[in-house]
Amino acid sequence: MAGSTLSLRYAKALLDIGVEKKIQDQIGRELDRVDAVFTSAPELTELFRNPKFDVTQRKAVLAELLKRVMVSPVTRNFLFLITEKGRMGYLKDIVAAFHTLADASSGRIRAQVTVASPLTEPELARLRTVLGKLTGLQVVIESREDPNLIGGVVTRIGGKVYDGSVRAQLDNLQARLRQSNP
Amino acid sequence: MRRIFKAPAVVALTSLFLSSVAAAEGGGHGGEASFNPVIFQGLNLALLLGIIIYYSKAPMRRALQDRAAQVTKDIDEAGRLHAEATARLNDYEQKLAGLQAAADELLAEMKREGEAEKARLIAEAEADAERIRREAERLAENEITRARARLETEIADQAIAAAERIIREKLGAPDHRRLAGEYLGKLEERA
Repeated sequence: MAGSTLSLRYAKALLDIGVEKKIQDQIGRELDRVDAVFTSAPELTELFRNPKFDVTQRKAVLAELLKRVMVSPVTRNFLFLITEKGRMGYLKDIVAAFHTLADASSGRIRAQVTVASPLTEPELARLRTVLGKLTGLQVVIESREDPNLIGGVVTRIGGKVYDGSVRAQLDNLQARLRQSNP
Repeated sequence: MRRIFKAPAVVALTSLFLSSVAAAEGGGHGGEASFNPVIFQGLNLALLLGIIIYYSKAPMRRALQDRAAQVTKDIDEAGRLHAEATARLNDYEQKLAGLQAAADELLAEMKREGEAEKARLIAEAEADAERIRREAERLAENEITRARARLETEIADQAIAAAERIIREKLGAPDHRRLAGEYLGKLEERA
């Protein structure tokens, strides 16, 4: 709870600056790219969490990283700030909070779509449209694959889950079979 | 009783008096006896006896009467004691006779109680055995039910696992498109 409050506070401060400079969408994309780098390199995350490395060393590593991942000065300054404050470990939460706040401020909503097999562009467009009708908001789809679903689609949006996966059907069938044999 | 003790003293004094009179008379006449001494002594003896009899008759009679009364009383007491002993003897004999009956009755009562206790213990043991049997049956039934449920759950899990394996093997790209289409169709129905 403390972590989420802290992440929300940092995200709101960054969004306020982004809105003021009208670059909130750009900041969002930049944050996603940086977050992807950290997600793909767990040792990098470890470096920013391990107290063996001081702030100067962390800043040096971040500077090297930002030479490869081009970001705006606002995002750059923000990343150095949270490095200095020792909050880089909350980056993923901050990014998520930033997107939630940015979406809310611009009438958008994010949908986490999990699929066993990637959806085609027409399918994604159709999904975006139908979710837009259901929520009354502009839908941003974040798609990921999970072979465990076997087949079908699971969408999480605005606290709701629309589960059309084969895994869910099998789980339901298994539950019914177990219930019939108390 | 005091009179009995006084009588000898009176007799002694009288006898002494008569003797002194006789001696005085004898001494005064120079050995010439005016009374025959034998007669005098006889009279003296008679007088003595008379006095003795006179004074001792009443006490003797009373003593004899008291003795007779005491003897009578003792005889009565002995009779009472005898009657009492006889009654007690009869009582003991009756009790002795009744004791056997009481012992027989007690034995019979103990036998009856023993039979009743035996019957109660047998009934209790049978009830316990029946309860244990029912409990064992209930436990066995529960265990069978649980085992059946476990088995059926296992069969269901295995069936689901087999279904998943087959679906994974058979599911191709067209099936994924069909599933996505059905999913979108259902969402559109909601919208």
